[in-house]
Amino acid sequence: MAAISLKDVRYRWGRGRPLTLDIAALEIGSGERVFLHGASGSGKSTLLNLLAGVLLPESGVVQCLGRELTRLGKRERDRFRADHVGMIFQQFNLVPYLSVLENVLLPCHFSSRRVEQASADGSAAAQARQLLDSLGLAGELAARAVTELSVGQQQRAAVARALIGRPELIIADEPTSALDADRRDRFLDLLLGKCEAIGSTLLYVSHDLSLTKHFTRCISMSGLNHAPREEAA
Amino acid sequence: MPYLPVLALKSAWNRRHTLGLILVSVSLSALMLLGVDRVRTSARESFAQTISATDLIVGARTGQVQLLLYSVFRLGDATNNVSWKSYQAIASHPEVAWTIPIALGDSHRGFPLLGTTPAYFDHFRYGSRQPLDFAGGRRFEGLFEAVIGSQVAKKLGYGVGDRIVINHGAAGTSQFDHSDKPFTVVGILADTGTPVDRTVHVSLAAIEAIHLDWSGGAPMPGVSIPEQYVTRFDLTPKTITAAFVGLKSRAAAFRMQRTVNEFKGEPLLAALPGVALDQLWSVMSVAEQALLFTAAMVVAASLAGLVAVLLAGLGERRRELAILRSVGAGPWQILLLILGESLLVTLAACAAGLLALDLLTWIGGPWIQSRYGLTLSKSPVSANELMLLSAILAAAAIASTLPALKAYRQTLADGLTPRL
Repeated sequence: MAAISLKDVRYRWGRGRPLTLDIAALEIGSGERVFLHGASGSGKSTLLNLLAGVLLPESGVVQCLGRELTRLGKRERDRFRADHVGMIFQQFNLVPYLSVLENVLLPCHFSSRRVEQASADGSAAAQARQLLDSLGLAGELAARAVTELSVGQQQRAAVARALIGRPELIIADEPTSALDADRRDRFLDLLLGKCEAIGSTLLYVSHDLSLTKHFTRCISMSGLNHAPREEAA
Repeated sequence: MPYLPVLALKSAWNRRHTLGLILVSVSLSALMLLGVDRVRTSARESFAQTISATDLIVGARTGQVQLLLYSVFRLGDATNNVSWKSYQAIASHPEVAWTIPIALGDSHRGFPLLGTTPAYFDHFRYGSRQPLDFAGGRRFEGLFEAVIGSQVAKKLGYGVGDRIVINHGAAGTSQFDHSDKPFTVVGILADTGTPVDRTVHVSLAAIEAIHLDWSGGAPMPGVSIPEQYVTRFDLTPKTITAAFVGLKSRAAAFRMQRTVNEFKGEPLLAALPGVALDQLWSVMSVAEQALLFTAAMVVAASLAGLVAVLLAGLGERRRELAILRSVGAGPWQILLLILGESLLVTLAACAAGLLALDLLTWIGGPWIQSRYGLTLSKSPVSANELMLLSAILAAAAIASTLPALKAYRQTLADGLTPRL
């Protein structure tokens, strides 16, 4: 089964504006680890918002994990995202007023499915600690304020949050752009290993082509998106 | 799972310095609004309690409000007096059950002196028809005996047996005093919360006696009548300031009022205390409304501050809101988060304002009572105050829809990738 399937998807930011996204077809299989490459302004962010069910295209079909997002209501799409998608951002991934552990547990408060899967063998908090442990954030680090963490530690905590409750799809939006080369490779190894371990599909977005070797497949935004590039962006 | 309130609390705590300041501002405005309301309500209550059971107040022709002011509240001076003859004519009218003549004008260390007869202790009523009680001592019987109100005793530290000297004229208006004829305090009245507490009571004859050797507001030079000889003179008063009148039947009040107003001997006025009190209150209610309006404006200003703080905070919270969206929070939940935070701050501010007011009432109440004769309500919260507090909360809720809706729209436009 395809994890992601797009057909004739077009998107523009508001009426009368030029097309931002024009994708004839995109298929990503379940369990694939895909590197999505593209410069800024190539429509990457828009694509991610469509896949996470935050935005709807003006036409076309977006299918995610067998569900047709384009047919779901707003609430159902929010629910779908909470249940099935883990997100990792470029930077500032953590809510500043929550502890590291609370940040990791955040998806569990919005999805009963994630809680269930997180507490399959014990409690959600136990799985969160276990995840943090395996990502090198052991012991008392979990109770710390997120502002006391280094950027690398913050990104690893974000991975733990994305993975808790075993969502089927992990979307990472340039999570290594703030890391140096050495830490970047270690981060990638951890992320890829974890995704493989829980069997999640990984969509990794970046403009750094040197990372392609870690992935099973590489898709270029410029080949995928037929919308004219915006010069201003 | 009710996680949103927890999130709102933690988020608010994270910005406690800014929100703390705005909380102080809102709670001060709530304190002001509640304070104005409490003073207003208490004033109205104690105001209506100053005189009761009296059917008519009779004085020289003037305005009803003015007559009420000087006869009951001891504020201002009478324009004219009532002759003793006219007073007796009214007192002996068949409809009249009792009368209390009063003579005002002199004072003792700032407290007004009131000359009257024992009828005062028999018939004067305040509150809900409560008679005057003695905290100590007895009524005046001898000539140079005085009965003082509770505040006079408390303020000046007087007890039964103390000697006091009467100053001529109202407080501070004359350099002369009646030091040649001192009075002895024989009785102290219990607290009433009315102007009675600030009054020194003596007999009408005593007022005549201390003015025997006076003429035109000053002692006659070379004439001095010693205390022991005053009884040789006729001490029947020639005039009084006003009289409180009780009728045999209340139904006769309007008829009797007309009789007095059309009195042949001299121009007189009969005021119905209830009507005059209402009139006086309507004059004061302009100030009361203005104060209430000002307080409401202060509340509005502080709520505008709250909205401004929330709006300014949205910019720096874009990341936070995008993260919440990414883990599954809907735009409605974001809206509720902002709204909840605002209500949380307002609720805390209202509670703080009320608590501060209760504390102030508790600490400052006795002082206000002794300084202004105003008894503040001791109940921690009244129905009216609860209504005002809910009004503040409602106003905050309405005002906060602005930042909440902005957050809603912002979060829809930003999606998972906020533009910074």
